Amino acid sequence: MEISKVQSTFFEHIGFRRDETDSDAFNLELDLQPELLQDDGTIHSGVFSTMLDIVMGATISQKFLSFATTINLNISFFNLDPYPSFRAETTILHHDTKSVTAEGVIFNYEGDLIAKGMGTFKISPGSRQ
Amino acid sequence: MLKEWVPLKFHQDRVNRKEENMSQTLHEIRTGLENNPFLKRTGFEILKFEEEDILLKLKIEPSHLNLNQTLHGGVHASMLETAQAMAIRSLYKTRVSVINVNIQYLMATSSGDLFARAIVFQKGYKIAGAEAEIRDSENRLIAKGSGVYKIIRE
Repeated sequence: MEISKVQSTFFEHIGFRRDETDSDAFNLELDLQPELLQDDGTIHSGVFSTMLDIVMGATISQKFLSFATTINLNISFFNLDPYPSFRAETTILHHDTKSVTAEGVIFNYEGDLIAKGMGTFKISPGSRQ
Repeated sequence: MLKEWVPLKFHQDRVNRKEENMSQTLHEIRTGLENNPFLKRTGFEILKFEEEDILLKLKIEPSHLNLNQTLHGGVHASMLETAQAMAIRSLYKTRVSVINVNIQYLMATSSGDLFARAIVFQKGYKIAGAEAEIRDSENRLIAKGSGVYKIIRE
């Protein structure tokens, strides 16, 4: 799947970019920008929620050739400090014909775990060719 | 360049703020939130900020949409998390840090205004729990969330 087919406007708005070194996987990277911070200097948790939603949804979309609509997200946050860069990866845990469950993890540039989430997505295989 | 100065600068800012963070007034917290870079960037507007009574508004813009031309799930998540954190901050008058959130996406939407409200359902010394919902201008439930937050007592 071409990269343009998995990037949304909100994706660009926040400033994510895809790691294109592995075309089979959809890994996401983010460099810290001042706009992503809160008034106390920590990163807004919504940035990581968005990152996990995108990395899980795009991986599912790429694998099942379908739009992936989020049904549920559950995220644990371990560290909201403003590290320079982050990386997100995902693993598909289970799927049937209508839904897929995946987990996603975010690490900082040193490899420390920052957040972990699990999401369930609705799919319609063949809706995106 | 950004990689070198941002962590150091914000770490120092946070150290400087340690003494200021307890017993903030509602007005001080609201002013801080209104200057919150991420909230400005995403376009959240604080309509009401009183103790345990907050109302957040978002006018959906094209930049909030996903490839399906519906509101991106990250926007729902950000709005619910913001509303929950605001409700707890309004009660405790101090900073909070999110531990866990759970979000249910109930209805897709792509235009108009959205409103978020939150309530604090668990009020501990170190931990608080809040839940929030997002409704559109026709009062339809768009998404619902809950979260657990650490109370920062420095």
